Amino acid sequence: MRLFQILTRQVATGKVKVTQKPLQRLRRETGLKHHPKPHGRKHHGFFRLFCTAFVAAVTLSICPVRALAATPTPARQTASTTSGYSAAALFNQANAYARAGKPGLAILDYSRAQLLAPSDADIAANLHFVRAEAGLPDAVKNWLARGLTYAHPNTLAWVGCFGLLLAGISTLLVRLYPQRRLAFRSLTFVGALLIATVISNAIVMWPRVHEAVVINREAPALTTPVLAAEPLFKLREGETVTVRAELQDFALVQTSAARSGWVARADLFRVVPQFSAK
Amino acid sequence: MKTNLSLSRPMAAAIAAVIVFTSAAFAAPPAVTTQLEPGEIALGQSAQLTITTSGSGDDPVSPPAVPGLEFVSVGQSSQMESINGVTSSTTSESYEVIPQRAGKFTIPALSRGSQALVLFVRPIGAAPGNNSGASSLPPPVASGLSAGQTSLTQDGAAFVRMRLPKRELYVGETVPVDIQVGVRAGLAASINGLPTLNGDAFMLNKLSSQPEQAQEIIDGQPYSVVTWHSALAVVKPGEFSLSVETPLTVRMRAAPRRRMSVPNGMFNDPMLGDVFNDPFFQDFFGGTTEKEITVASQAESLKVLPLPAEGRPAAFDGAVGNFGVFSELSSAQSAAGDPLTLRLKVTGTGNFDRVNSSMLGTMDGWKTYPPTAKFEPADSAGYSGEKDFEQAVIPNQPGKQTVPALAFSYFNPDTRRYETKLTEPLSVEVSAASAGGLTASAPVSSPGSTPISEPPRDGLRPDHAVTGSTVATLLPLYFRPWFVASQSALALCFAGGLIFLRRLERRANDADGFRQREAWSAIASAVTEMDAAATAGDTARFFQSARVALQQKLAEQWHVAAASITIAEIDARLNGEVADMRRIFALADQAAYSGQQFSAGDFQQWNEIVRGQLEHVEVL
Repeated sequence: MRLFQILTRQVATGKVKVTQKPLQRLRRETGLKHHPKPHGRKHHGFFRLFCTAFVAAVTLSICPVRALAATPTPARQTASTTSGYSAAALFNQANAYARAGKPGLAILDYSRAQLLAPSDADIAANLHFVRAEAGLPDAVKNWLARGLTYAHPNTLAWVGCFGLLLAGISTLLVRLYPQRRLAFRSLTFVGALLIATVISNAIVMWPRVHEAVVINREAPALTTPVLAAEPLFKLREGETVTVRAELQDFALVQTSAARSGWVARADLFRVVPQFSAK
Repeated sequence: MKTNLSLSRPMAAAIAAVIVFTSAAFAAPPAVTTQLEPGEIALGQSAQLTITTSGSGDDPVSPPAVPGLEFVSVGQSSQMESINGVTSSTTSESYEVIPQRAGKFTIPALSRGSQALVLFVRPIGAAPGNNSGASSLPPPVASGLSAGQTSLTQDGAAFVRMRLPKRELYVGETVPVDIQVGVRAGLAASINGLPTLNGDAFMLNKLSSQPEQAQEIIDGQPYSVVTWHSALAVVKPGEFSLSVETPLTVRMRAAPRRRMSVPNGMFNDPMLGDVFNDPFFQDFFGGTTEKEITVASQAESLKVLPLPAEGRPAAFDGAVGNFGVFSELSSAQSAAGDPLTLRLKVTGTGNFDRVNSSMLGTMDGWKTYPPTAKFEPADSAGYSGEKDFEQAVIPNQPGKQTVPALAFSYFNPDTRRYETKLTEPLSVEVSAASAGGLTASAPVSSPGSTPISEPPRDGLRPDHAVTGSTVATLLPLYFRPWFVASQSALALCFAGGLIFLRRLERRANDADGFRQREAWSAIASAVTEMDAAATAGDTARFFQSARVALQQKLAEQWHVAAASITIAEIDARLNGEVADMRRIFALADQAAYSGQQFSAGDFQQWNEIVRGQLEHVEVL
């Protein structure tokens, strides 16, 4: 009887394979309830569906990058043409502007170069030097902001993508292999940490993509976006402002001292071109 | 006494007449003096000629006819003196001398005692003192351009003319063009604006604010001609009509400035007559008036051909003209890592704005930097000249290195085919890198003309080596819509998978409940199907649905498969307690083969029976 019970339990848990007919008879006789296995035929269908969706999502993520990478970018292109930006070329161009006595354009190109190479000491030093020469203070950043913006944003974006894959896959594996729960939970935590880092970096970077640099010697900030409006204050060449809104030929800007006014768009260049404020 | 008086008067008159006639007979011939002020004027200005006649004689002396000069009388004054019985009179006649062309004019002597006068008329814009006359005028421009059709205005006062080298052009081609505006000499006119084109298929280069000026005789009339040399760019193919127009302001005389002849006797007062003959008075009533006119050239028919697709080189970037290329390196010797300057010169005629640096690309064994370009026009129109490209290049390896031949492709409208010019390959001896060589940081500046060898300014860190890796946009990846969309899709996939797995787990942990819910769902579906069959009068479908509903109910109750519920199974388990259920199963089999039809009342009755059996099963 003991052997029968063991055999019955093994058959019920699927450890011993028997055909369906004697199995049904056995269940009827013993009154055992049938518990469907989690790895049934429907599971195979789910995995097929999930794998298809996963591959599609990963392909969707990677294909544009491959397409961008496949686009030929000739080395002769200038620092800031529509065909591409290079940190070194922007840095060199900024140096040329600085030597030519154009601090506004120099600071603009240093800022752009810094977006592509945030940890480059030369860019930071020259930006600091040109700002000091123009009598402009450096932007104050706390240690967290400095740390979060230390890496290249695009690199961080891919790190976040990896973190999402890690967290998602490990979360699913926890369900499938509960006996390795701890290991998979750890991977999920690491993935979530990476995602959180990228989101924090994006939050810190969001104001920077709305920044603009004054390129003319003096740019009056007006009360309203019309030329005849009364000037509130004047912006200096090289001053970095945040663009809050744009209306026709004017942009509503905010200085580091939290002063706001409408400035002619011809007096400004955005640090990130072709990115309009809402 | 009275008689004596009456006789003495005629006698006195006779004596006076004798005296007058005698004095007239012995009087000296009238002296004529002439004066011309000033002696030198510019074309468009006028001088004043004063002819003074002294002595007896009333006939005024007229100025002689001088070709190229027009004499307009502006006034006359007379003076009579009688000193010790000697009477003398002086008459001055003033004329405005209007030159009709530039040059040196000689007014011959009016009498034996007078002198000939010389008037120098310099061209418009010429400096005073240049009295070389008409010979100093620039001759008509001798160029390869056609003469152009001269279309005078109705009064012949002005014309605009366009001179083109040919009438058949290619799209993108730039040709020299001369635009000439002529105003008849002696006519005061000013050009109110630059000539403009009437044709949207062409673009005109910027016209100079200091055009050339010259003289030209058209139909025997002298004209002052202003010429702009420019270049005409063709924009689109087709057959077009092209003309040029220019706004002019012409100052015209409202009435002839001839001497206003006051009839004798009209004003008996000689002083009044002098007032009307005064030049000011004449100007007041017979002054000038300004008129704005637009003068257009005759329309030229031009045929613009598209560039042929056949034989177009892959490197063709739209340059049309006739060009030559030449390249050179700043030094024939260098060290690995030291920058050199590669210069490429493109010379010739054509649309230099389409001559770009596409031929300066990457080279194996060399590190290259973005080139700079500078154009030096050879003419004011920018049609011909030299475009120089400078590119900083750094040899990577020591040894004999070669800059390969550079190819430049363009379309030659003269030969009507594409041509490719090649430069000579350039060799340079490259030694090993020097101790202070710049291998990672080359002082190269992209914009402007900062020399490569310029040392970095104090306080500014030196330039970086450009590696060639670029990004299309500065916007971080995580702000781009496609990236956000793909990551969201990925997250949704994981969320969907997680939900599915959790559902499977719940199903595994609550198999009975799940089976029960499935059975209820199947029963509800079967009952609905049964109702629909009853409405449609389909007996077979009604009983089959009823059987399915009962099978599902019994299977859920007995924990067996629904398909295994048969009449035999029911009999075995219920020992014949449920006769209606057996009948339903039997009727389901019968109706499927017999085609038996039930009435609506029968369906109603059986519907109630089936529902009653379904409720009854629960208490079994």
